[in-house]
Amino acid sequence: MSPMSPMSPMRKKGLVQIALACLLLLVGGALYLFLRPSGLLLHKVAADLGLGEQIRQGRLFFSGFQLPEWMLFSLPAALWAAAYILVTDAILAQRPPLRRLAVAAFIPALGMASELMQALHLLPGTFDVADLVAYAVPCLAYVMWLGFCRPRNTPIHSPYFLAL
Amino acid sequence: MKFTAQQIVIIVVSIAFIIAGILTIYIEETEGDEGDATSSVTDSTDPAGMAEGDSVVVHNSLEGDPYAELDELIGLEAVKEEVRSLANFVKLQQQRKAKGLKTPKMSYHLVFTGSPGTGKTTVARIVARIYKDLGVLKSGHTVETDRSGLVAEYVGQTAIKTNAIVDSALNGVLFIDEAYALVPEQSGSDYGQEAISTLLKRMEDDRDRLVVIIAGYTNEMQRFIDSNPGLQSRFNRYINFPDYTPEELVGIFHMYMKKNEYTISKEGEVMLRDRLEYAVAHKDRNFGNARFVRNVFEKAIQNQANRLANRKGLDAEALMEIDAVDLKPAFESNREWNE
Repeated sequence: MSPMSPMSPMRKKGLVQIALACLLLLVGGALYLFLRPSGLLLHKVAADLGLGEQIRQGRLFFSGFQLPEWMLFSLPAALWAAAYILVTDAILAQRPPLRRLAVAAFIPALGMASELMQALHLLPGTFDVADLVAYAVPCLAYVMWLGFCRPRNTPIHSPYFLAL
Repeated sequence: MKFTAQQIVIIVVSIAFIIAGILTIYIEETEGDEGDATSSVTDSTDPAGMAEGDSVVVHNSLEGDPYAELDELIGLEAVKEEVRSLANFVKLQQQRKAKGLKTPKMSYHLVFTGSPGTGKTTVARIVARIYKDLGVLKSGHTVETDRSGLVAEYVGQTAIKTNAIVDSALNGVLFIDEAYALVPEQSGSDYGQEAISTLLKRMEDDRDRLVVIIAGYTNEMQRFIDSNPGLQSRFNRYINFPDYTPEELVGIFHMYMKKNEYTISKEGEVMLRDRLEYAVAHKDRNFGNARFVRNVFEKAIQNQANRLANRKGLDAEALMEIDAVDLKPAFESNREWNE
């Protein structure tokens, strides 16, 4: 079976990763729409799309939920970063791990950079360590996953990893 | 430089994620805060959250110097001092923050205690504008309500109602009058606790965008705050509004006259002072203070209109002057005090 045939394991894996990425984005979006205060831009967009009543019902349903602060304010960022990693890994499935990591780490690195710039007052906003961790965790998990998925007996310093 | 299809897809996906991240994670508020404060005020009349007759008043932020307006208030010297002191403290902490120094955790929420008609709502509006000037709040409008604006009659509806009011007050001040009514002493099937829980959650979630001022009688407010640890931790700054003295009430009456271009005869002035001194000396805890004076003024000008109704060729002086004969029935018809 050719690796590029419609039902190849690699293609299946890619589709699962993209589906998972969509799920993570949906969960992050749900946190914003149903549990965060309703003044956000996303609420305006949802209302413009005619989803106002559904959002209102959802907020009613979740109104009794008391989530910890980090889940409301930092988890969406982690889910966004993780979704990006999944999508880029799916697209670059056949590329060497280092190239995949370099591309996948772009968004989490951007997030961490924006947090650090906020800490240095170079960007407006409030620096939060939890947000920094939220961007870093998916990236670190991906690194560990790449190491876990390497072929047997392939050391980290081998051309398998170092090739771009 | 040619890009492969794979590279193009990666670039497009990256741009999409960056835009999504900026719009949702980085920008957490809608644009045009003042405009949105107005539109969210309009949204607060959503039938899903509000019923006709609910007590909610929205007072949009005005132009002008709030400190000057504070100084112009009659009496309330201790309150003015407290508010100025609070403003100075906030200003200094912001200067410290700008220099990268540590700042203590600040609660901007306030408790106003005092009898009715002692200026609590007026000062709450001024505080909202001061907070706006200091950059604590972006809009500085005030949403004024009481228990009826927060509590619904059916299960699950109170949270919706309370959230709707809070949404309308974001970037401004939510003023809750007689807040202790949310926890009646004989609580049956009452949803006041649900309103309090919802309010506390929103005060935490929106701590950078919402200031809550609760107001009412001193003892009742203390009981209310002591009944809930969440309230105790959030409301630790109290400002007491003492009852007005007779001289201050006379001054308030004169202020109404000046604003509405009325004058008072000598006999009227004597009667005004006598009756107000008597009213203060015999007041009960429901005495309306400035509200009482406003009621007297409104009845007095109505009585003047009745007195002058059949006269012709009145000059400006006659049209402006309130006499003792106008004041006497105004005081007598007021339910709070009768000779």
